[in-house]
Amino acid sequence: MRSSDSARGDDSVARVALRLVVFCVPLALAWLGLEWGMKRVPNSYSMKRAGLEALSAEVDTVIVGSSNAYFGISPALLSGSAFNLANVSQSLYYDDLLLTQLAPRLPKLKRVLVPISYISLSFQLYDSVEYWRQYYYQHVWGMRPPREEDRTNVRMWSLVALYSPRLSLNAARKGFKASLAPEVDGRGWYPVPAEHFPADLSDEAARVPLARHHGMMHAKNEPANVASLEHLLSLLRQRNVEVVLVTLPVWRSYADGMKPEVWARTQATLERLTQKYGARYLSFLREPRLEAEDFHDPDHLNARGAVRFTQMLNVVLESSGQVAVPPRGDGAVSHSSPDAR
Amino acid sequence: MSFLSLAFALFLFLGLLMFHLAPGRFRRHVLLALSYAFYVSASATHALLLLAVTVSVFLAARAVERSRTEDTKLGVTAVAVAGLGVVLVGFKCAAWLVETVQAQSAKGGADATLLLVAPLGLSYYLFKLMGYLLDVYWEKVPVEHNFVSFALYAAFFPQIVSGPIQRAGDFLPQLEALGRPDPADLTAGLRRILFGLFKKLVIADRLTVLVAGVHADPSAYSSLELLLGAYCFALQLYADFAGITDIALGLGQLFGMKGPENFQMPFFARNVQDFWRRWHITLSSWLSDYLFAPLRISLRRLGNIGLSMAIFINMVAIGVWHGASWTYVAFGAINGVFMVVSALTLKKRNTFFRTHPLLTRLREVAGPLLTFHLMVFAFIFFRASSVPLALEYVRHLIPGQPGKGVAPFRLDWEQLGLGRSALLGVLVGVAMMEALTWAGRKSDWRDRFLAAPRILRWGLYYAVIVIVVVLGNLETQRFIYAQF
Repeated sequence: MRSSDSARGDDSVARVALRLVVFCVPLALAWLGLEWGMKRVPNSYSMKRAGLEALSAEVDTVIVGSSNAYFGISPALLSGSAFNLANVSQSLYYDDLLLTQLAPRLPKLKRVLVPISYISLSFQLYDSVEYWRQYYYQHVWGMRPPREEDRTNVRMWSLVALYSPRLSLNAARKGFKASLAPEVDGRGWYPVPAEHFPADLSDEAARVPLARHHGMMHAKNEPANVASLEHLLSLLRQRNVEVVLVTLPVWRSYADGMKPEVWARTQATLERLTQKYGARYLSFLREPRLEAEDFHDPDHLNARGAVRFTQMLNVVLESSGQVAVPPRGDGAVSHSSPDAR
Repeated sequence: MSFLSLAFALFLFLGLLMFHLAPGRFRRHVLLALSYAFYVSASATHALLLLAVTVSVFLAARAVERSRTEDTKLGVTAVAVAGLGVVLVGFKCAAWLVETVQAQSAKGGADATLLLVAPLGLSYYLFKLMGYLLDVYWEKVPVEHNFVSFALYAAFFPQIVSGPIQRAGDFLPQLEALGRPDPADLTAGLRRILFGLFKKLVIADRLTVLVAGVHADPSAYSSLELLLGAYCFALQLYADFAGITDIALGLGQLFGMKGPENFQMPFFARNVQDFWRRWHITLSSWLSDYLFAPLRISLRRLGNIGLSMAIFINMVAIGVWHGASWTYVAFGAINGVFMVVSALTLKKRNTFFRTHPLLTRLREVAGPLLTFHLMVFAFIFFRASSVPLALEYVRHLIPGQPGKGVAPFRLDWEQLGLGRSALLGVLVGVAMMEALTWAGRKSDWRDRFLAAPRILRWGLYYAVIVIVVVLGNLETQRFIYAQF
């Protein structure tokens, strides 16, 4: 009696399970359709990947780093064939992963610019409000987030979840013909229009990004970031690629609000690493030739500023003559911009 | 592992598979293993505490059963209940201490090194176990001799995060009859989970930014914006808590376990007493049975003063149950005052309205409105991070505060972080939630819906799923009541 009840129960549960599967089929198909469609919608990460792959045979200079390099260095204005791989909140962890993956695929690579900002050594992407960006590296480059707990996030596997279903449905309405980063040029640069000109560069305005940055800066992140930087330096030296560490310009209101002890610690680390690996360090932190009209906000250049700065940078980069890789074990080959203060 | 995470979805899928494939007699073992796996995912150390407390209460109940004299029974029960109380108060106070130290540390003081954070669901499982012990002592329930069943009662994963606080006398018999779940329970469970997700993701979470903003700095908002913020928090708290309760009850149903309801459309309550019969029902009924009733009996000789004291202490206990914070004490005390006034005047009010029948209709409308506003006021203290901040909120609610640079009736939607149309959408969602709750409780409506053509039912389910997915915040992991 009991077993027949149980068997009947089995049948019923099985039927319910089957109905559930049937119920889910349209939902799954709709979701898969959106996933397929969203794969066709370019974003800054996929555009950079496609752009770099198209130019991989000729690229000799790669720029990594975060938003200040993404907006602030126009590769077209650098000598040779350069490509900007920087992106918003890109941490040294991802700079290292990107270069580890890409260096072998760029036969002409001779120089890498690694921007070091105020927050570089104490910032981790997963620790910030921009943490969701780490899933783009998974989708576009196959790079897993560093923390185990982030690897079970639905955004790891689903572009629809990453972009949000609402944005995905909007894209579907346009036949997935939209681009999420139409401003990015063929060499990965994002020229920020100077339409908000003149930008608010007051001390009050600088407090906002400074507060945000101080909230994301944690001393506990420094060992991992230094390790990423060392790995990157060591790897590129083995490949005879010159590494230039660069600090991009910020407006004085931002520079004045930086904590001196933190910046001094960064400088000391850079001094040590440039000596150890024979890299160059160029600091344009307080670049006097740039004016208020060159800034989008206190810590980012606009398109005009990026053009002017890249030209200055190119002069300094080329002033040492041919791009030369210091011999291994060489002493300090650390330079500062003549105008840096 | 949040109920809203991908990891939990996988855990649930595998758990259901294991549960249904397991022979009937091992199903409670599977459920216990799942419950502990769920708990260990939050903290293995705290799982050991849960196990230790469970073993202690299991043995204490057996000792009560074996006691030959009333004094021994009372002694064992008192010691065990006091022990659970010490664990509860100790962890809640430690959690408060940690928060305080961390706040100091953020201001540049000493680093917070204490790690005595309150274990997941501590308040819920300790109240379940305390209730069980008292019920055993009062011989309301038989002593459970099967440790697996008992441990499952304490650790049942759908209920451990935010309740409901199910009584042993309701839970344990269901385990005895635990066969394969009724297929109707499976679909009902899924419906309930979907409804819970709707409440949480479409209503509660959309109000988060607005509520957080007005409570962070009340002086930056107009009186009208603060009033809107206070309304929104009441709705957010209700949708959030009712949402997780629905999810918990739905999850239980998937495993053939029915749980008690926690809400009965509380914002339609006629008075404050009625509100507390409809809001967090399992907590208020627990305290009513195990705290208020004994207090009422012991203070009976004091008449209305004794009644008032019993009510007030009971309401403060409801507040303090949420944590060792003055804001919760204030929340409980405010409700205590409301309840005392309501209880002491109820007879007179009833007599008045009996003699003025024309005003009865007005009472039917004004009663729920007044009750709602009283609760909205009390919830300001519940939500505030400190009592001074709550008082500042209340002060700025009054238009025309001197020195305030914000027009009292300004409605700056941008500053509020919620557009007018989004708020309208939330209100429509609340109306839908209450209408569906009302209809769901009417068996004829429910039967009519279940008998409707499948295309209609599925169409509605698809519509709700699309609304949840499109409007919901899929990043959400936290429920307000999961912290208690």
